[in-house]
Order: sequence, then structure tokens, then C-alpha cells
Amino acid sequence: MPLDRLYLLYSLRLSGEATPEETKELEDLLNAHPEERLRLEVVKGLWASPAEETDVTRSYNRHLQRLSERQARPEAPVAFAPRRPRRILWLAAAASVALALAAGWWYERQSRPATPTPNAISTKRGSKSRVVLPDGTEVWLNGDSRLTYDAGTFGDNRNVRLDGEAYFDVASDPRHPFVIHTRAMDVRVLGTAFDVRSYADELTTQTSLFRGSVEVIVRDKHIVLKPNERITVANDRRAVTGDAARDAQQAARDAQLAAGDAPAAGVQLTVDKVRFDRDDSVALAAAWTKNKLAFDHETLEDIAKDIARWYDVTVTIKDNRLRQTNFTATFDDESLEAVLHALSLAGGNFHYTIRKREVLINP
Amino acid sequence: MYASMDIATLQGRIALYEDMKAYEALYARLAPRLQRFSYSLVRSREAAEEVVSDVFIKLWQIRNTLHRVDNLQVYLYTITKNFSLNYITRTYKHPVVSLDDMEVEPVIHLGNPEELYLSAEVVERVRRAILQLPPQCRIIFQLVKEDGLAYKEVAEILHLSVLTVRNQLAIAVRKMAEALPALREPQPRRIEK
Repeated sequence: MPLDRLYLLYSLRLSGEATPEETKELEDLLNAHPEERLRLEVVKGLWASPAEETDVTRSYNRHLQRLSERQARPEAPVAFAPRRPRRILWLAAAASVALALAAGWWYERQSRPATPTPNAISTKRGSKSRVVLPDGTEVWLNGDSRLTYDAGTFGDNRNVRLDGEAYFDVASDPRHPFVIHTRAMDVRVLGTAFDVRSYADELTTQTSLFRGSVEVIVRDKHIVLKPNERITVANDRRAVTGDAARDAQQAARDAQLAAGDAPAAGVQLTVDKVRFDRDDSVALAAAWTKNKLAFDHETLEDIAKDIARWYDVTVTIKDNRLRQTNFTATFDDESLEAVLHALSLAGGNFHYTIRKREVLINP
Repeated sequence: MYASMDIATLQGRIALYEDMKAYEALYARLAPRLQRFSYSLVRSREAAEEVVSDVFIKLWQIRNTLHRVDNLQVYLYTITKNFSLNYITRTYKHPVVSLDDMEVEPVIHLGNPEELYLSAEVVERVRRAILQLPPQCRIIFQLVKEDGLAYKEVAEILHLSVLTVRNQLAIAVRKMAEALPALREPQPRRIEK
């Protein structure tokens, strides 16, 4: 259709990309189709945008607030241009940037002493923290969590140790696998987004995968997770007291075994699907990164621990049967009172008292 | 004074002097359009503002080597795109594979229809024609028309070929033209500005 050529040329003119030859050709075509000329004049009128009137002051002030908060946290400063490989963007400057990186990196390696330099980021109960590691990996730490790594060797060996819960968005670097060590499992990563939960006072350690792929190593078993899969491993029995140990084994056995492999002797592990909040598709395991408090088929006992960390209180449950009651719920920015009230109505039918930082739950 | 400096100058001042006034001027210049771009992907004003804030935080973090960035605008748009896609992947179930799989809500301003003597329904027809364009085409349209980016820059940001950008723009213009009624009588002449 001849008009297609006309529209192409006109679009080039509108966006300022037409060559002189193309402009001449356009004029000729417009002369040949006078009725189109009028139409396209209208399109040109619609193309013009009204001048931008937006006042950015408030938006900028909000941004400054976030910037200063981010500066205050212990973050490894990015010394070079971002390490995350950006393909097309760096095409033009690739050679010089790569050289600059290599040169700078070599210099750093020569001058750094051999002794390990541990870096630790920890959060208290009731608070969360976001950190950027030297390779560009972003880590969101939930309450009562601790992340440690050796700043000196991190470039070669992307190893970190996690106690608590963190959501990772790992910068892609196929030459250097990212490994997270927790008490019950190691997670090997190549560039993905996932959540790892390993609290000392909980019965299980879990890794939930959202994007990419990770390899989880438990004792000597290697399990590869696909997106939206979650692996649960019972923590070492000795670390957990009494009845709870037996419950851990039961909990691990009760979940569906999707991996198909028989678990290694003495290690109970299960692989199942990541569950999503029915209402708005936020994966329950990552809800906390969005400031939502979420419980996924958890006993009141475990919920109590979550609440304790989230609100920085101590929670005591007086009744054993109450402790084992299961709940699934999500709370978006609610007060402690609201959460307890909702839970007590939902099925626990329990009574609770909040005194300063102590919560007591009775049947 | 800062309002008249171009982006490359502001970039230089931030890199060499850590000039916060230049940083603020850069924010004033680019944040609104980056927010519009992010908004068309994440479809939430708060999220878009947060994404762009993160982009500017990153910019500040690499301020000392900022002068090495070839085309700062393209760089910022690209990071905005990546952060927006990260946000979407974190918030929704489906990992984003390509722009055409996404729900996109472009921010398009059709300038001064009153001056063109167009009725409300015709304007509505044009608007709807734009919304019916495939998602990738809509984003390209927004970046070229609203933000005035060059084809080469758009191609870089979206990982496309310049040819694709050319063709998509041509389609957009065609759809706009086809939404207009055939004009039989000459329109009153307007002085071109």
C-alpha cells in the first residue's frame, strides 16, 4: 500500500529522524495525496505535547529522605562503575570500561592485606534493612537477622552467612557462584531472586525461589529449585527442645514430596510450591519485603515468634493445644492489637493481653 | 542557572564536584519522565516514584565514575526499566519474559485538540486507537513522542533494532491517522509556531 510509505516518512518527520532525501520524498507523496496531507496535519497537532508543568519539589524531598536513609546504613560503596553486566548499553564503551575495571581491580588486589575482613549486617527485632553487596546484589534483611561475609575475598568467592531471614536479588555473574550458608542448608545461586528463612528458634529452614534457579545443598544432597518452588528442611534436632523436635519431623513429612528423590538418611526435606496470597499475588514467603505480615499454615507457636520479631515484643501462649492451632493470614501494615484481634476471631477464640512489650495468650 | 545546563554538564558536575545542586537539577529534569516510563510498566504511582528514587540513589552511589557513562539519559532509562521489571516480578506471579507479554499503561498527552477543531469523540477515537496498539509499540510511542528520545536511544533502552522502532512508530502514526475522519474541506489555516 503506497500510504504505508507515506505514514513511515511522516512518522520519521514527526520524530525528527527524517533525512533530507526522505523529507523530499515525503513532500512529493503529500502532493500526490492532498487529502492525506490534511489528516496528517491534525496528527502533527496531536503529536505536540503540552509543556511540562510538574513541580518536583515534594517528590525530590521524599527522594532525599530515602537517599539519606540509604546512606546511613552500612552498605559497601560501589567503587567502580556498576559491575552488573549491561549488554547493549556498554557495547560502545565496553573495551575501555572493562580495562578500567580490570586495572582497578588488580590494583586493589595487590594492595589489600591477606587477613580476612569480615563484614556483618544485622537487624534487631521489629526492623528491616536493605543492603547492597559489593557485586551489586541486593539483600533485604528481615527482623532479627544477621548477614556476614568477608569483604576481602568477596570478589572471588561470593559467600555469605545468613542467620534469620533475607530476600536476595543476586547480581548475575556466571563466573562466580553466589553461595549462602545457613545452619541447615547451603544455597548456590547464579543470578536470581529468592527468599531464605533460617531462624535458630524455628524448626525448619526454608528457601523459596521466585526467579532463575538455585541449587540447594543439604548435607551432601543437591537439589535444584525451579521458580515458585520452596524447599523445607528440618533443623538439627539438638538445637530444638523436646516435643518440638518430633513435630519438626512430622511437619517435614507431612508436606508433599515433589522432588522425587528419597531424602538422605537422617535428613528430612520436602519440596513444594510457593504459595501466593490469594488476593494480590504477593508470594507469602516474600510478603514481608512489601511490609506485609503473612502466615502460611503456621501454628500459633510459630506465629508468636514472627510477631515477636516484627513488633519487638515477647509472646507467651499458655495452652498447648492453642499453640498447635494453624493459621493462614496476611496483614498489611496493621497494629499488633489488630493482628491479635483478627487471629483470635479467626478460629483461636483465645484471649490476649498486651502489657507494655509483653503479650499473653490464654484459651 | 542550573535549569539551563544540559544533561552532560550536570553529569560532569556531579561526578567531579559531587554537586548536589546539579543532582537536584538532574532530578527535576529527568525524574518526571522516568516516573512516567516506570508507571507505564508498574502501573502504580507510588511504585513508580519509588523505582525512580532507587535509580537516583544508584546514580548517587556511582557518582565518582559517572563521567564514564556515555549517554546518561539512556543509562537512567535502562536502569528504570530493569528496576521496574524487578518490581513486577517481585509483586506478581508471572516472571516477565518480554514487553509484549506485559500489561502496559502508556502516559500519552494529545496536545491541544481544541486548537485543531476536533470534537471530543474524535479525540476519544484517537486515544482508543493508541491504546489498542500492542504493548511494545505503545512504549516506543511514549518514549519518542512524549520524551523526545531518538530512535537509536529507544532501541538501546528496549533492546530492539532501530528498524523495529521505525516500523512501530509508523504503525502508530497510521493508526492515529486512520482514527481521524476523512477531511473533505480544507481546515482553517493556522500559523505554525
